[in-house]
Amino acid sequence: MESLSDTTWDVVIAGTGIRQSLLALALSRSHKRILHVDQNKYYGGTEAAFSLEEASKWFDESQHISRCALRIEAIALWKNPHSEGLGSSRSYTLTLSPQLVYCRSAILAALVSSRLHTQIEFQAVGTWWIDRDRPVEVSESNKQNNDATDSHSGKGYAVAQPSGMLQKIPSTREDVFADDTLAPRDKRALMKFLRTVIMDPIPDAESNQDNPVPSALTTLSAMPPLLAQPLLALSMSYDSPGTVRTKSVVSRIRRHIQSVGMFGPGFGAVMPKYGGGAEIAQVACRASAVGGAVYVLGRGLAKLDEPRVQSAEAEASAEASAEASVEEVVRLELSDGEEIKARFVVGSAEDFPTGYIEGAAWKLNIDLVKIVHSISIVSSPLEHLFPPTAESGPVPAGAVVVYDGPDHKTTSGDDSVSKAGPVYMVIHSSESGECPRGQCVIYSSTVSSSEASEDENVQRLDDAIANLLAASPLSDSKSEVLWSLKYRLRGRPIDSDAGPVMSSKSARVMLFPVASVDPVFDDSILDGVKDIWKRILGDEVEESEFLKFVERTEDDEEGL
Amino acid sequence: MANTTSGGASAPKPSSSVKLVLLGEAAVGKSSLVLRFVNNDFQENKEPTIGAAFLTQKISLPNRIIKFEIWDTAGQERFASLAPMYYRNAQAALVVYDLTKPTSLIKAKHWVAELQRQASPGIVIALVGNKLDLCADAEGSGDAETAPSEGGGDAETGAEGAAADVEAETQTDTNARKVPKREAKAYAEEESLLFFETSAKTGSNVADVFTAIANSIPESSLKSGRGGGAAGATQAALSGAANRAEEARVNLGERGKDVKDNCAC
Repeated sequence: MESLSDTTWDVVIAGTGIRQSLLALALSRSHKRILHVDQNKYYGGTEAAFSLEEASKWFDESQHISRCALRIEAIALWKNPHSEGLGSSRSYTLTLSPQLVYCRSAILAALVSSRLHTQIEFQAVGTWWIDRDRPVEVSESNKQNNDATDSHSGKGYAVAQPSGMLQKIPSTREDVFADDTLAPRDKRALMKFLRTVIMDPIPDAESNQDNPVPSALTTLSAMPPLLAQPLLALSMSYDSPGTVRTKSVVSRIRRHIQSVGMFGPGFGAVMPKYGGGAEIAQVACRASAVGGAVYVLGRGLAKLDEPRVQSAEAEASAEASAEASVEEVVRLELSDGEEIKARFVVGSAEDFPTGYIEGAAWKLNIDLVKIVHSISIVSSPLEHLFPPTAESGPVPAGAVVVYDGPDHKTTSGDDSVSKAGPVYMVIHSSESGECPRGQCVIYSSTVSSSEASEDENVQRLDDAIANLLAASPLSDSKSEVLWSLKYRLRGRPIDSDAGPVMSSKSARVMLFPVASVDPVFDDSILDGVKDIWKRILGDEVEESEFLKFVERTEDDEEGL
Repeated sequence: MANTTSGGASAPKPSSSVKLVLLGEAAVGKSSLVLRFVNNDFQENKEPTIGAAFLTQKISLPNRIIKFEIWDTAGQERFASLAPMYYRNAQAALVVYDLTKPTSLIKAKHWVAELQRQASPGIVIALVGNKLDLCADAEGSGDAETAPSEGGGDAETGAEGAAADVEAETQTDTNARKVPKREAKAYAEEESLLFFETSAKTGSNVADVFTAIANSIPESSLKSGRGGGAAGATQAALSGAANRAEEARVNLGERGKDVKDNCAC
């Protein structure tokens, strides 16, 4: 019973990240013999969620494991030496996958149709804020060092004058009406934009496709750039204003606006409690286990031997054609040396032996971009960021703050647009189950600009958080970063073509398309999962059955 | 049993979800306990659970409704890789052993240790010795059934009710009991666990276990949300028609159907 090698598995899934887990879910009623392994001792892979101890273990390990580097690399781990404020290790659930999920996202529909939504607690992401227009220029010379926060081994948190303003980004007509900081003319322009952007198809969208956004938006609605900038933030796109392309950004803003109110008043995005994507992945794995899949952590793929494909070799070996060629099984060696057989093997690049990926000459490094991320535990709840979404709406557990400074006000006097992209800070309150009460977790990210050094890119994250904490109305020594983890994520640019599922010559080994760096759940993930699901099940299924399940009853459990 | 109602949703009490995971060696009766609790039913020779099963049941306390989201795991899981997935974020765990099988208590102790090491801090753990019907001293359960207090929530009450029968344990020849109540109870007290002996077959003490757990969940972990009453609204609901007071979550259900229709897939 203890041996995995006795079975010829229909599908071996390597890695328990979100793609693999959704595939496992999709196959959970297929009666296939499924073995789901992960080289790590935890679930989630590059979308895992960690306690403090697990996070620091992950950090230590990722210094040594080169395989991980394909997608994610740890940069720095820091613990505030001056504060005792950290809770116990397990009172934190820090996620590598803090993606927001828009209410219109296909993943929500899929979770509902697969009956998984009752097992995941979704919480509202409330207000989008922009942190900008600081009168004080934050440059090297006037960064203020504050003892309470400047202890970051030489890379202290620069604390700007708390003179900046957090402005709520209006995304509904009600917001625009209610915003008394707007001049009547600006209100009209915003209203016009909101009307235009939800129209389908967007007038002139096609013709303006390749123009940088500010001018396109300006054309679209005569919007002054100062008003357009916050709207760009609604797109959750990493590009700096000078490089954003209209088509993508407009449709992303539209997604935001059209999602508002869908599941409740005043919010358009949700996040799964207890670690975002990590939670979705685990819930999907559970459903797969209920369906009978076998789960083994701590064992990865060490070696793959594919069935030979109609070569001279095949006929040369008589015994191979006798049995194996009929079955066309892939022979696998797990990292503990156990040899197993499988009809299909599926995973992400980082789940395969490095040599195998290189040997297969699959092109993985097409146009990858790098995003620097930080996960920061903050000593105060930052309650001002989480106003109720609406009068009768839910109390949000998440908020987004977009930080544009200071690079936007660049040194040269001309109007040259800043090269740095925005920093997105997704703040999770303790309601998310990710930190103890009285604290919050800030997931921040920005594009790793090639024109700046890595240190500078990382520094932008620190600056953004320092500014945010300084702008807090309760600003005092209580608002400080207690702990932070920084890492680099590589992937496809946002909204770039996901590309096809890659498969080996024998079509028995399949790789998910390279994941994007999108801070919003990327619906194209489902396309890749569906494609592989279809390839595995072939004619056994109709495409329309993808992730559509009836409620499980007691009887289903038996005879699986 | 009177405490268990499935129509609790109509009551205007606040409602909270509690994630509960069942752990224990194979064939100790985990699934049967859940089946008894959820459907008030029992199956002889039930098939082993594969993977795990998910069931829900509501329980009505004097001041609130607790909706248990129960994860029944497979005791014969081969690679010990499933359980961490189930006890992640669980607020309660029911660790089950078989009164007639001492090794199952040893396994139960391993589970308790793992939970204390790995699960959420503050998880409520109940140690449950099942198959009381096979013990000659099973009448002890009769006392226990009436014992648990309404709201006071001291789970020990039920166990103590049966404690008087401890002496009878060793005397009967037909007694299949191999784990003395004293021993298990002492261990439970040492580790601050709730403790019950149950029979999924007769139903004895089963509801009491869940009631005791419900009463032991700290108020703070039930009330999610900062501002008392408003807290209920935290979890935005993906099924729009759901009673907002019932849960704070975003409810994908009702509205979700529309989404599905719009979806191109």
